[in-house]
Amino acid sequence: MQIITTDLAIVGAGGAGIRTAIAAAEKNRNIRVALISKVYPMRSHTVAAEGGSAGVIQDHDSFDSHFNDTVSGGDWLCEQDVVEYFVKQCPTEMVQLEQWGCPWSRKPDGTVNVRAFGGMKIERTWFAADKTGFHMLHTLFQTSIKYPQITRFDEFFVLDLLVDNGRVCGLVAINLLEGELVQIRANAVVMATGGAGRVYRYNTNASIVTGEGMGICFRHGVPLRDMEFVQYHPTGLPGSGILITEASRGEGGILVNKDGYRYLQDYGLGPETPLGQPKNKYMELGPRDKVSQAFWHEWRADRSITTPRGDVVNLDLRHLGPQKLAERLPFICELAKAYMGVDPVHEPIPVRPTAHYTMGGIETDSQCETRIKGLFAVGECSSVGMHGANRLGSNSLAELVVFGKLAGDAAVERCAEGHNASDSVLEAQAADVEKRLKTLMKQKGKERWGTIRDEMGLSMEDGCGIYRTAELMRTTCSKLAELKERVKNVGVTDQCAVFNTDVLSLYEITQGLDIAESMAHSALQRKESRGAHQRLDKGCNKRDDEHFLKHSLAFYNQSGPPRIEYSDVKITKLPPAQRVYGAAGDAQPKK
Amino acid sequence: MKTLKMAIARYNPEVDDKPRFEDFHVPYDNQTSLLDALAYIKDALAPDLTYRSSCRMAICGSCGMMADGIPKLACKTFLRDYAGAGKVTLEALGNFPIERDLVVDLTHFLECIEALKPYLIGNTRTPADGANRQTPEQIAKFHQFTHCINCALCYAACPQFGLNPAFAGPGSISLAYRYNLDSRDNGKQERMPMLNGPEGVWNCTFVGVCSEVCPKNVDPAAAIQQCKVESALDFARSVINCQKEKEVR
Amino acid sequence: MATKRKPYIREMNSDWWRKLPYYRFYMLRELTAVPAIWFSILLIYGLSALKQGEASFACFVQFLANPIVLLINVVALMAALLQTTTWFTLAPKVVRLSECCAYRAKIALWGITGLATIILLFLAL
Repeated sequence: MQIITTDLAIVGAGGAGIRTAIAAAEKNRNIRVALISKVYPMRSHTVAAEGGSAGVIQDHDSFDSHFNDTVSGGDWLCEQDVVEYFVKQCPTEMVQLEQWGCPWSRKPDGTVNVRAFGGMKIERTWFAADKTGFHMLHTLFQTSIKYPQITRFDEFFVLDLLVDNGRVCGLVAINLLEGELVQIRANAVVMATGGAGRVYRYNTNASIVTGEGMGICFRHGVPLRDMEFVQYHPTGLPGSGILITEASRGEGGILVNKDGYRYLQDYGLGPETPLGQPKNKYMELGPRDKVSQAFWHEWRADRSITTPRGDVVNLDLRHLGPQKLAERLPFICELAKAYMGVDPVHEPIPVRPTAHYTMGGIETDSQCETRIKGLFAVGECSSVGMHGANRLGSNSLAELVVFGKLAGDAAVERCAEGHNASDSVLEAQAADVEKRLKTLMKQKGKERWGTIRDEMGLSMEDGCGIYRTAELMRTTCSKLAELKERVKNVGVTDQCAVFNTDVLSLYEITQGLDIAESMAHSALQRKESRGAHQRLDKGCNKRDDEHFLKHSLAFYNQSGPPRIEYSDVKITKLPPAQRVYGAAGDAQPKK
Repeated sequence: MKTLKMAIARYNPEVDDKPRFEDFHVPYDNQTSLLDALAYIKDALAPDLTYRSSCRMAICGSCGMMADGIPKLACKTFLRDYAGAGKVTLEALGNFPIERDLVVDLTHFLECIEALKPYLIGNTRTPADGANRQTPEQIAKFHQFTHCINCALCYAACPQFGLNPAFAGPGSISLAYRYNLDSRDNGKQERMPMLNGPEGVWNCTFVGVCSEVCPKNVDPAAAIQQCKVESALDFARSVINCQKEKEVR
Repeated sequence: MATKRKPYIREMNSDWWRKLPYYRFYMLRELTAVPAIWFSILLIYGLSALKQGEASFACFVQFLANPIVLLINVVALMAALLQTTTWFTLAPKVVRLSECCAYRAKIALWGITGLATIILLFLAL
């Protein structure tokens, strides 16, 4: 097996991975960085983010305000020291992106413009029309080209880590085109592999968002933190799940049920705001968990619209007019026309909540390092403690660059330490990875991975959806256990070495089952309702700070479901309070 | 449910000497995209069918392929549009070497992007200095060319790239030109040698088909023609400067 | 270890342009160069005939009246018009005009062409 030696290996070349690579290259001009991704960097899912990226910029805004919105938005499950660092770094990182060429939308005087977003008290969302993720990713990718320190390994699929003595020493990857395994030996490894939205059947995520990066760390004993918190985005297209940005509502779009009624006013987000005058933290600018939950109630009360692709409500943008739609939301118009046959200028867009974001992930400390020394995690795959129980829109793009920079800097320092791992141990681990892959290639059986994937996805929708009950979660847990057995009987048809997507899809789904289990079991054991984790069963339908103001930690267990433990939440300056929006939010006494 | 016949060019480098067509019958409705159909085939009929895909919403640029000989994004092309003909033929993206089934080797494209230095050059501002000012008018000059998703459909359509695989091609030239036009950039002189050179803009004969197939209306043909004007001016300037230098001597 | 890859490179045959209507139209546009060359030669012939005297010029005029020459010239005129159309559509792109400006530029260009033609015809007849 070929061995490539580098200083720092980064797994994943989305926004977080590339930002990490650039930070490392800038911190140490002589470093060698391997940027490894199973797809070309510009295919990474960052590309699909639409609305914008947060950063305090207006004179009447403050870091404290952004902090308060984020912590209360996360239902007090955020690591507050991490959030404090985050809000302070956001504007710097946004300006840095500007200086790398990101075409932020501007005001007529040439300064950067910001827009309103859900759960944010003041406008602080930097945007590039409605393709912010696309422009950020391409800017980062193109900028990364100028650093000779960065060597890209495009279309290399990482199978496992090499760890000796509690210290990460590299990884094993397969070169997709060659079908050959390589060891990439490194002093530090940064996981930037994105979320796991594809464990749900209907989601806004790209087909590559399968979560195996989390799975790899999980199997090495790193806990997955707060996995029960999965965000449903309120506005996805029915069937496909394609994302319709929250910026549609930030710009003034409204949500109406089948009677044309703006139902959000009935769910603690009112009173109704005048058409075309969106008000921060009111109505359509409520946080995503609350807006999705409101849909659920409307659906149960039979006030949604039934279509062949599921129940929907209408997102009405017509009053924005063709000019504003073309300037601020061109991509939304393109998507609605292509995938729904609906022109938002003339008709409302049918939407429904779809799984969108994994708030939890690989547990890290405030410097993005995991319990394995030298192993870092950043971006959606990680849980640095940013998002708590519910993420605010536009905080995740900012997270990529803020913590990408932090992880890059921290990893460079870790690299300098070096390690004295035993070569024979690493060789043996690599040989084991190769053996496991060969065994998987030869696996025979009547099951198909597509069936397993679909059954997993539907079961997750049932048990770990917008509202949960113990019974439904238990059913999902046992379904997942069943699927974990059945996946061993999936036959691999494709025996070709070149670009074998059959065996790697099976690998992804096997890891996905682990992730799904960590979500379902963490959810089942959290006997309260908080943020995106809402339960209907008795005694669990309220927030319970006494018992559950805690992070859940899911540990891998080879012989059964994950072991769930808990850890404390760091609270610095905002003690838990009631989480309210709309008029009730304004009525709440200020601290 | 209605079904459509899809003839897909298969190529397994370990077995085949050249691509061969295999027919599949795929059920579809009004919203089924070519990509949905490929996923159906991979799930239900041929697990070894190989193609690239990611976002399924026409922004990542993974799933470029030839549908009835025309470069298309599979995720933004629908089976309903082929119902009249009763059949659609899918082949790997044109003008690139086929590695397997619908997967091509994009190395040349990536190398051209890298060689043309698509990043801001010669701007020494740091975050401490605050953001550059750039008016909407200044942005409008280059904004269209920032929309390229690197899907390479333009390369598959361009006969000049087909005839001369060394040509830098429409996508990478548009990107270089995007930075040349950016008011924050001072790197034009670093990009012009390659744009002027043997792999540069003068390979283009303005067929214009690149702009026709572009799924994001980037209009690379316009970028290349404007680049030709720049290149000609650049040449004229260098001749004049050369003359002046001679006179000085 | 030897690579398992065996990239298949598709040859581009000389009939590539027949595959798509767009390519065929492009070839037609390129072909307009042939009638243009013909007409240039014809013009040079006319000029030299004019220089050599009346008899020679009469001979040239007689040549022009030949039905075959007439037919070729009609084809040349059509080709010139096609070339003009494509050029006027594409020219605004080269000088980076917005869509509505491009439309106006196209109309202006046709206007100038029409006016020049009328003036020339007026002078000639």
